Amino acid sequence: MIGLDEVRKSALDAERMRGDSPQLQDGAKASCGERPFRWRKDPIGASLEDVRARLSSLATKLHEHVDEPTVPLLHEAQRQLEQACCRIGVVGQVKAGKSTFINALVEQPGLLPSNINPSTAVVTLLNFRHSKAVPECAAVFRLFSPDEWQDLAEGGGNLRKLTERLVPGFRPELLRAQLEFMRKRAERRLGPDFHELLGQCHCFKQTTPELLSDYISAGSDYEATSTSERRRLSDITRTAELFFSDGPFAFPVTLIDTPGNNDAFLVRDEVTRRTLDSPDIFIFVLSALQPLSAADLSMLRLLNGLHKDRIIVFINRADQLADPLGDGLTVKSAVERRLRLEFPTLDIPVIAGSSWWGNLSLLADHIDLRAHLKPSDLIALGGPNPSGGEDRHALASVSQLHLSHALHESSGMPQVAATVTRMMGSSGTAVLLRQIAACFLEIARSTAILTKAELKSLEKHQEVRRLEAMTVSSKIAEEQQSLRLAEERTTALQATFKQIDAHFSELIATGTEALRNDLGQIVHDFSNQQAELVLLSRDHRRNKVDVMPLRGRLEGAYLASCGQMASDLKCIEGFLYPQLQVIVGNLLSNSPAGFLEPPRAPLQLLPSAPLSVAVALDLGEPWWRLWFAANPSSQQKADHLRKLIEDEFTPLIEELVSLAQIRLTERVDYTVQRLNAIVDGMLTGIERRKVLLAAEYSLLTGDGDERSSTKLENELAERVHACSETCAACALFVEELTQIIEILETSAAQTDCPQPTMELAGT
Amino acid sequence: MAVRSPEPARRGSPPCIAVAGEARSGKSSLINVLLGSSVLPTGFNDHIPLPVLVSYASRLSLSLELSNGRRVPTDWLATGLTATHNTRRLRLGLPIDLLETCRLVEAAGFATGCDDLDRRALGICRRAHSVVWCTPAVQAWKASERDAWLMLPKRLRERSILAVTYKDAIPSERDAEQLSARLRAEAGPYFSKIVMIANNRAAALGGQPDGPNTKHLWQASGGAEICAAVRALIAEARP
Repeated sequence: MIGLDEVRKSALDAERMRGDSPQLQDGAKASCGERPFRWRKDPIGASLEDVRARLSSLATKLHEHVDEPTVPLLHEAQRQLEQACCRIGVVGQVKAGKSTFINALVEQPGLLPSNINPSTAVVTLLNFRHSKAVPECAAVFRLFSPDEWQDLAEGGGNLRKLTERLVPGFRPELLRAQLEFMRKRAERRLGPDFHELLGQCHCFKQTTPELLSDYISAGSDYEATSTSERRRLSDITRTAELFFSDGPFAFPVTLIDTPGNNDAFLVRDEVTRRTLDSPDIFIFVLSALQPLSAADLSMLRLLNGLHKDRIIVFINRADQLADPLGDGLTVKSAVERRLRLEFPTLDIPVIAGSSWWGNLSLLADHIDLRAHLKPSDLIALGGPNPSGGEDRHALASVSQLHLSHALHESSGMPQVAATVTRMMGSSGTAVLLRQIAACFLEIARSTAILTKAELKSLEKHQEVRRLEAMTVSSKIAEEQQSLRLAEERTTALQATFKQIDAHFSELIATGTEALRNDLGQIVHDFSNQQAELVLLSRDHRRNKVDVMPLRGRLEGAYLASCGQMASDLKCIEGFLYPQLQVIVGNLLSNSPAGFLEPPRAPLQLLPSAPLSVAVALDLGEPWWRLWFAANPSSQQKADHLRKLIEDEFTPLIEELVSLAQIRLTERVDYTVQRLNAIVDGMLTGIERRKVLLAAEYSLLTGDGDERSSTKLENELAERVHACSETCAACALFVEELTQIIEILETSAAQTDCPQPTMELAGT
Repeated sequence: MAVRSPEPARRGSPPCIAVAGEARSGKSSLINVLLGSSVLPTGFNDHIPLPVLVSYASRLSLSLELSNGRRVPTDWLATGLTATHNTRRLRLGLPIDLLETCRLVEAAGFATGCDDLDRRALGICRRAHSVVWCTPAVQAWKASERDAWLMLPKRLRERSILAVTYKDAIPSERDAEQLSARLRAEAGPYFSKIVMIANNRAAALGGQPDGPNTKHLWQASGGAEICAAVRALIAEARP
């Protein structure tokens, strides 16, 4: 079987032969239409992108019709729309094929480097911004700062700190040896003065395979001689960011490639753990050869704590099974069974396939696919054989096109693309879009109502102007009086909002304090219980203390408590809004139904990311063995353990509590901001009419002349015209926004209901 | 921590060699290679979560050994072949010459997520004379494997083999060199020898073949090397 290395080389050669530069991602060169093997019909996230574009253009249109106080709200929303981006993290064990998977998914074989040894040493962000403009920089590499390097290479970074906390005073020999190795290697590769490079940021206009391999790839440092003269900077690179103007995504997406976990090289393993908290969707890559080992499960448990329902499991390397399609199905159902057992409340889509096949299918133009496949795979992929049996001639007649199509279908990539699109529909990004749409709807509605009220009064005003001076004067006085009243009530309303705001803040403060106490109590109980166990236990063969159950309990309590607080807030909102409706209804006659409804968008799930932070107690059994040895008596063991658990988890609790506080405050701020915008809009309207009336009044009292009367007349007419235009526009906005919200809700609901299980690709 | 000494060599009882490694690392087929015959099931669904002790017998026999020592005749397809508190292991008896000089035990259970199974496997390796640790070439020597190996007594390190299985999945000769260079650096200090083997191919050859053509294949698969290495371990154990 030929290796990907060769495939990659032939891909690159083919590109060079076509006279292109070896630059792989150039958007100007390869537009979607020109690619011969582009099977996907819809780009990933197309529906969400459509919504985003519509909202963005609505924001611009709304801008022309709203009053001053609402403008900042619109600007903020527009900024959020521009920055909206779905982050997809690709994680899994070392050598599961994560980089190769990304290459197949983004349809750029050979983009990210791969090797028989763990290759990805640097967290790599691939930004698909979907802007037609070619990015200014195609690749940005940030090197460690001198401090960070000091911490990692001299100190051993987080791992050493954890070890220090578990077994004070001890430096693991293994880590020390590996750090020594890494320092020497950096020196060998970059020269003795490599420290001068630290803290630098390197930008490039083009991405080339050589460049990526210099900065990302761990490199074959075990080879006796170096094969190239190039400097390898991966040891001191902190992050790599690549920018693409072309790609399989419609919506802006950042793909995150990570070094695998369970890497025997401890330093690389640590890099990954730091990146786990930010993605919206996780693609968990498993090897079909050893699916769902203990390391996989413990990582999934961590992810589960982070993102309840945003995990896709991709079983890679099906091509290496004896019977790729048949065994692939067996592995898939075994994995599904195990996942159901481990995570009964989750519905994790499982897709089996082969990144290698995915990459191969894209190279059909350049290589003979048959030469790269095992005979058994050819039979499986060749489809039903009319003559039956393994007829060589029949196989030879399978066309290249048919084969590459079959490879693509069986690679699992189309299924992954569809699943990602579906999940994006309910991701944090979709929730954000829905919030923005709801906010726009509110703005459009309130603008429509206020303008209608103004229009009515203006028309009345115009009518009155045709009457006698005496009557006009009294009418004006009457109107001014009613405006004063309206102003007073509105200002009172504003004060009420301030009180509500204060009440909300108090509620959050007491709620989070209770949360802090509850979580503290759970940790306290757990540490006592574990200490008891150590005291009572005669079994010295305990390998380690498992704190996963504690994480589970903390997460449960955290989510329950936050849910309670959220529903308290909702309850107050539910009580508040009808009252407001009455008040506003008094101020403005004919306010329609649906105006000032409590926000319907559900509270976004609170992330329990801090719970996935590695603590000293998570260290492996060899470390625990040291711990057991370091504490001779049971009492010492128990005391140390109790203190260790409390010390390790107290900071996590603090983080959880402050996260809850931030999220809930955000929600309350949003509500208060909306309400204030409405009231401010009302006050602006009142102000405007007061100015008009004052002008009219001064005309009547003889300060003005004929010209100013005509001017006023014109101003009135202009205002009436503007108001009727705004009314008409807002009606359209409301219609479109209602439609958009419906679309978003439908796509979110699709993700919620269990999906029919997908069959293995190609069967 | 209580470390048990190697199982006392009863009179006439040959040294025990454990074949260990994480799930699907090629343990069963490696044993088949050593035995020169495909006796252990290696199919995709044939995973048996129980230790298997292979020792000499005048004729083929397979029994399930219970915790109380009682043995119940069984077959590979029998249901209930799982690790519970009252099953200890499977015993396979075979009339094969190699087994007159050693006993082989397949230690199933590392990183299975099942504590009981993992503990049993650790126990088997602790009591064994030496260990052949199987690690699949495409995902070789992960942290979890190293951690498990470091839990075992140090004395095993100088008389154990790291078998890099599924050698045929390595794409090129150059990749093979790079891989073995890394393994020499990362795992070398913990083993007396590192051997690469295309276990499935070697098993399919059914032991040391005679023909010149198959002899070449046998050499290329790594079957010859692993058999020689294991024989050397046995020779060391028997004064």
